[in-house]
Amino acid sequence: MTDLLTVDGMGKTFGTKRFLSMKPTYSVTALRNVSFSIAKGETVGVVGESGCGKSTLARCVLDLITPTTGSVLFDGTDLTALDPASKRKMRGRIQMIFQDPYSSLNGKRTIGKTLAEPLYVHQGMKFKDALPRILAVLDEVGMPRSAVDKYPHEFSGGQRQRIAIARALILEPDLIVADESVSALDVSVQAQVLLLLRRIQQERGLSYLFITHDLGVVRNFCDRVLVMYLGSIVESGPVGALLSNPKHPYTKSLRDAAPIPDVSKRQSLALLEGEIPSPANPPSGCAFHPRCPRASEICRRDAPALQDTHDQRSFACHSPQD
Amino acid sequence: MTSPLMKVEDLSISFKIEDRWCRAVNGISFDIFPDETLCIVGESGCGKSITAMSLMKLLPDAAQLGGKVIFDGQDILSMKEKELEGIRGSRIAMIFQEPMTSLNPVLTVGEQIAEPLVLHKGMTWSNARSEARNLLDLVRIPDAEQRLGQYPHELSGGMRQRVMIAIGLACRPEILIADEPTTALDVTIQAQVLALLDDIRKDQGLSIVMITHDLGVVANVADRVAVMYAGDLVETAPVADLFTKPSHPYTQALLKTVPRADEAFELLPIEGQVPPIQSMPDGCRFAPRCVEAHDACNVAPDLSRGPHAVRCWARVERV
Repeated sequence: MTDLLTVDGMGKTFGTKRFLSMKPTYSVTALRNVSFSIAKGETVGVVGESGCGKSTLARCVLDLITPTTGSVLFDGTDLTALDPASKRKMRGRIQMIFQDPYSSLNGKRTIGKTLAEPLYVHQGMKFKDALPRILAVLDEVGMPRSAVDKYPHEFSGGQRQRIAIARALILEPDLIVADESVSALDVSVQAQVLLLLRRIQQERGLSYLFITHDLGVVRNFCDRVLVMYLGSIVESGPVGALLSNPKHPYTKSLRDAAPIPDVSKRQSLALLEGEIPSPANPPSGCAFHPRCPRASEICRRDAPALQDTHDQRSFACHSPQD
Repeated sequence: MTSPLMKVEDLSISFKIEDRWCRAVNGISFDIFPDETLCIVGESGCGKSITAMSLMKLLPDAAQLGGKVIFDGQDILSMKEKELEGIRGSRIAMIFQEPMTSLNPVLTVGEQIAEPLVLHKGMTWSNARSEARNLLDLVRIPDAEQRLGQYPHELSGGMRQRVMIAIGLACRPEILIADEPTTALDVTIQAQVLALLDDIRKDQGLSIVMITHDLGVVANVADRVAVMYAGDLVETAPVADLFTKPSHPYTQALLKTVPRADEAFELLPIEGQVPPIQSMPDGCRFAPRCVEAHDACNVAPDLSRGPHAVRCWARVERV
């Protein structure tokens, strides 16, 4: 498989610049040396708790916020080195679906106008000429063609998310970045949308970068998964192997805390003590050590590097699980 | 068998929409027993939250209530505000989904926990404050003394939910109603809060009514489960029965839509969507999406009797 997207050493630091101020500058490192790749037709999931940097990662890949360090290689071109005009051209090939279809669709625009806009911006297409493609993409996401003249408020959450998917698809992208795109939906509708996304992938051969906090969704939808903690990837690998045999204690804790809808698996949900530290004031050494049941002296001192194992997995831990 | 702590009988809640009364909760009955966790589970708009609110008669005047909520021999729904004050917050308490919006941002944590003790138990503020300290210990907030003087914005989401639980528990209620208490929390923090609630229930012997949309949470904390769909209570059962022998077609279908972290399987979505409240079918409300629907479903079935009860024509004989 050839890699469609390769992210290398990406970092993002938010902070204030000192300007006519006596106050010290502060900075928050939201992403720390993140590297991964996505193959054509592959779905890569990113999981982690709030504040782990997964949404920042999604936005950096699209250059919606500019990463501080690192490169984003898309189909052989380094996006971070492009001039604005060429960057804009490339952006048509990477599209995004957001979490909340209530705020990501313009309530004052008809669905037709919303779907026509990307075609106008990227291809200079007039609404009249765009209409056949709009109708085709509405068919593809299972929405009635009459939606063209309607407004977002006339639709339910699941239908709006279908419209958001249609908007992402209309430029025929190679990669779709989905940031918690099914999290706001009820499970019965969530399953509909997940199946739709999978069917689209099979028909079009596109790739997904799928940000979520739900390990159940990851298990059922993704090929590979990156587990993030406090801005770094702590473990990555094929979904099945990673979840059934996690190497990093954080991955294990995350998995054990996810409640399974099955009484035979009822357990006292394994408890991870404490909470995710503030990225403004990260712990020394391994960022996970204050909560880690396996932490030892070296974990407090040295941050472990990501090491690869033979079966396409990697993890960053001094004392991994067997 | 112990007698129920609270009996909900034929509860209905209607709202006026475009000059017509629409039933958001359609005549449901269930019991809450002492010392148990009852989960009410369902998707958005199924009526689970307003059902929870009605148990304390916390609904706006615009809502038309029918049926009874019997607690300690009295019908809560026919009580006056004055009488309700003796129950709300002291004998029945509630915690909500988003602790940031239900905590008062301009009062300290200590003041908010002490308030119900002063109002309901007639404690002095200084006694109430030291009791608040004990309550923070109970909900396992470290450095309790220091936390008492902090404001909600200084706490993380998990800590805020613990403070909400402390407020709820302040007057030693008999029933704690928890409306999606962990939905806004990360899974590791959710696990902590669920474990805390379960420990407290065992220690203090109170009953918890937990409203949730998450079947994973239900499987892990419930003793009994009530499944709601579009204002109907479609199935109620002990938790083991519900997951091993789901009977209502909706429950069966719902269980097949939940992705699991421990195994991958083919998700089977429920086709269609919940009908809008103004145009609910007269018969079984799930019939339009039900694979087993037939002519009899044009008339609404009743909930069958017994501990594992189902509201479905196709199941009447079997259960």
